[in-house]
Amino acid sequence: MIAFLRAIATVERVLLASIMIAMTLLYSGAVLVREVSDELYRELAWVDEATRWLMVWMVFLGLGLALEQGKHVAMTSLLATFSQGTRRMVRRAIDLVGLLFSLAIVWFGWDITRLVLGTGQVSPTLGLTTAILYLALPVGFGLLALRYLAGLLGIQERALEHEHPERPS
Amino acid sequence: MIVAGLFALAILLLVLGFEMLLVLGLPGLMIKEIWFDRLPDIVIGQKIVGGINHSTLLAIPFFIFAAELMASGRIARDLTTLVKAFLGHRAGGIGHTTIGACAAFGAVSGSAPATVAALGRIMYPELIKSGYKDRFALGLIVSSAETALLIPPSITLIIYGWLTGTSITGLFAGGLVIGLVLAFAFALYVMWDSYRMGREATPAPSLRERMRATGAAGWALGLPVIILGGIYGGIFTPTEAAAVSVVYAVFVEAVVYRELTFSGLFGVAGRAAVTNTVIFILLGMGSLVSYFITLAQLPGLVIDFMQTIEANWIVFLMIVNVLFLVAGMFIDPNSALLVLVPALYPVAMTFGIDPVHFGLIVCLNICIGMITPPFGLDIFVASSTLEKPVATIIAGVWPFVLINLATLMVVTYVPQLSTFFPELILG
Amino acid sequence: QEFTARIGHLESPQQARHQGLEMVADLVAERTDGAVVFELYPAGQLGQAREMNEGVQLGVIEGTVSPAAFLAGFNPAVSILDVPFVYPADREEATALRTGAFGQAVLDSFEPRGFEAIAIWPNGRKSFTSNKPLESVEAFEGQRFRVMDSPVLIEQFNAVGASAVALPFGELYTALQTGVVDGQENALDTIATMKYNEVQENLLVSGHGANEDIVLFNPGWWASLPQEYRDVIVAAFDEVRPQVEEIKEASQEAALQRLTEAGMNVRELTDEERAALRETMYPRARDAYLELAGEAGQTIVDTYEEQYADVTGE
Ligand code: NA
Ligand code: NA
Repeated sequence: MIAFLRAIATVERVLLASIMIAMTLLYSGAVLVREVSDELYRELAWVDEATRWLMVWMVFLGLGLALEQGKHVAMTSLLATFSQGTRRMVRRAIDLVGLLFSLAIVWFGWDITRLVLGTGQVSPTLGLTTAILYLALPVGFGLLALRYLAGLLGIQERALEHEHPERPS
Repeated sequence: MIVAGLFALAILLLVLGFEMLLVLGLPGLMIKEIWFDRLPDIVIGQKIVGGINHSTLLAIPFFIFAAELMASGRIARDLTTLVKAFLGHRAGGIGHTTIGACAAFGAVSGSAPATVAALGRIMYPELIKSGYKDRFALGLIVSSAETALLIPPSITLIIYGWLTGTSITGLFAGGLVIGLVLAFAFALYVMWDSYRMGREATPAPSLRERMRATGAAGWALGLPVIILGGIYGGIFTPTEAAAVSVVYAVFVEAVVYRELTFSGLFGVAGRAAVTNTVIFILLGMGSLVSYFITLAQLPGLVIDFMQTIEANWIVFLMIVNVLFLVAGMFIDPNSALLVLVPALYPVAMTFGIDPVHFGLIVCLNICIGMITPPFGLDIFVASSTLEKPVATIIAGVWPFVLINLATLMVVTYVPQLSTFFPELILG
Repeated sequence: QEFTARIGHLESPQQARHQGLEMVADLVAERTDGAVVFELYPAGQLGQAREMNEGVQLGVIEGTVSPAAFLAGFNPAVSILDVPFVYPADREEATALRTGAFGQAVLDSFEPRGFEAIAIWPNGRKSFTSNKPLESVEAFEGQRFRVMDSPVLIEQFNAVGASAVALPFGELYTALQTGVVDGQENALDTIATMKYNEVQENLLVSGHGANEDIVLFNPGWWASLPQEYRDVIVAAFDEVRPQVEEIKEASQEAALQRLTEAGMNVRELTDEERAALRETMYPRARDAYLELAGEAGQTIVDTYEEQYADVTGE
């Protein structure tokens, strides 16, 4: 299970970094093309939409990794004052609620993906089905659910918000 | 009763350390199932994605990426060395520099979170090194970033202008004045803090040291030159400038300084992506909650209330401020703008309030909403980019909220402050 | 209150679309004795155009009034309304097309796409503004105009040798100010409301593009209404349409006066220029449309060209 989670995290890291870099190249590349030739730039009307879609996917693909690294915003100052045992209990409660919530969003997200696919809606400039946009929801919250599950089963203890080490700057 | 219950639940989840996305999302789901059970469940997915899928938000991931590159490379060091060589010896010098840098960045970006993301990583370590307290430094960065919404260009003011048909130039002119007033108010607080903390001026660095710092920062200085020159020269939009600044930062760190490797770049990109996730998922959850607040048609109730108490303009503006303050605590301030302004603007006009004046009151309220807990977007951005607990930032931000409220009172009840410059320009 | 429709749209409460909707809401409430209630949500309070259209399809909201330009992703056949000079300059001739066989063909094209489309409302005509001269058809060459993401609109500018830059509406003012684009196209009242006169020198009152609104309802909600209520709603939208056009016309005229007083260099398109521009722009934009809309598009174009010849006597 640990090995499986590690493999998933590696894939997530590679995807996230690639998307961030691809967004930058697309958006700044379009500026360059516009400076060089208006003719070519006409062919790039889809860049804004493509970059936005990548951004949406990046946000949801990062959910699980952010939880594993203890990066999600949370107010843990009270939790930190609790005894070891109480703290563990609260953490399990958070994991359980988080798991159920994530699974609910996976369900609702899958539902809208399926329905939008059925309507045949396409994006104006990419010409791709808008279902691709919504697919990010079940995928992202699925990855989040996996991390909450790992926490609940005690397989992977995630860091408290302010426990993670300060970055060298 | 149920409202109070949900509210209590949210507070309980918050203080017990539940992730903020659950604190917002869980009551969001419950509101949906209790009051809007006939609404299809797909509205949940639609609103979460809809809160994120905005062109106007694109600048934020780019500025986070650029800041991450600069802070982990040499550009940030060079820039701060330069600033210190010129201003570091003054009492409060670095504090004032933070305010000035945020205001200058605000002239490029219309986004307060982007300003926190871009400048926080650079200025925070310098503030700490110069002896500012952790909380003070965090509060200063988070609040100074607000000026990005007031100093033109400002998307908030453009949206207000569109909603109400008010002159954008007039709003921009007034926004510049109010933005500077706010910056000045913060600067006074920095001076007082320096006096209280006994920070004293040290001997100024020699001309030679200053020349050396300037020379070393040459490449770093290219960044603001390219961003400002590109935008005001009509080569790119502010969002495009954010993407270009990433490319420039990579070029300087990797090609000029040869310190950034490909795998280093990959690591920075991944970290920037996770930071972005943490901020944007809250925008998505916030959009879900504010959708239901819109459907509940709350502003109508407030307007009915105002009619029953027969408010005058002084009371009316006070109610407007309270309304925005409360709304800004719990929902994304820009959603508050869309929901409240169409309802309140016609009432404001019946009281003979100047449209530019009203717009600046609203904009300043939006600014305050960015830094008020529990839903304070700039607080979240600072927490995730600087890796600081939310509670620490909230503790640091409250004096600045008070300064903001005092400024808001002055702006509200001295209309001339908002209108003299626009009138000068528009005649 | 048996039937409540939440109707969202993008315009501000002072604009023609919202005022028209308020009139319709009153008429419908009155004629159904309050059994059908329209709750109006202006200014994008319920989300962006795409979300609202999708919401109507999937039953999240009951209705929306959407500019045709935002519907291409849902029903490419509607983009015929983006084609420049689709309507003649004459108001009555335009009304004949909008409410006749052509308009009906456009409304019918929504049915297989999961919408109940019940009316087309006029929402003004677009004009060009630029910081470069717009003195002749040739003057367009080499200029950069901002457009919405639409292949048809992009082709409209390609036809006269200008470049189309797709920018978000929110960034347009600054882009005009700094010169990222030279010009843009919008209805006169939008130009005045957004104060583009502050950042634009020249205005060519061209009326080249029709801003058409499509009134859309969720098919499931629509089917749940008794037939008599449906008739009341359709009749109300029909009845209010001329008033919406009048409000829009009045605001266009007021806007033109304001823009002129604000010191813009204003010029009206001459009839010869109009004919020349239509001849240059229409065929290429139509072909771009056909590529987009396929067979459904061909049927609409056939209906359109036949009725256009009929109405204008050309
Ligand atoms: Na700004
Ligand atoms: Na807030």
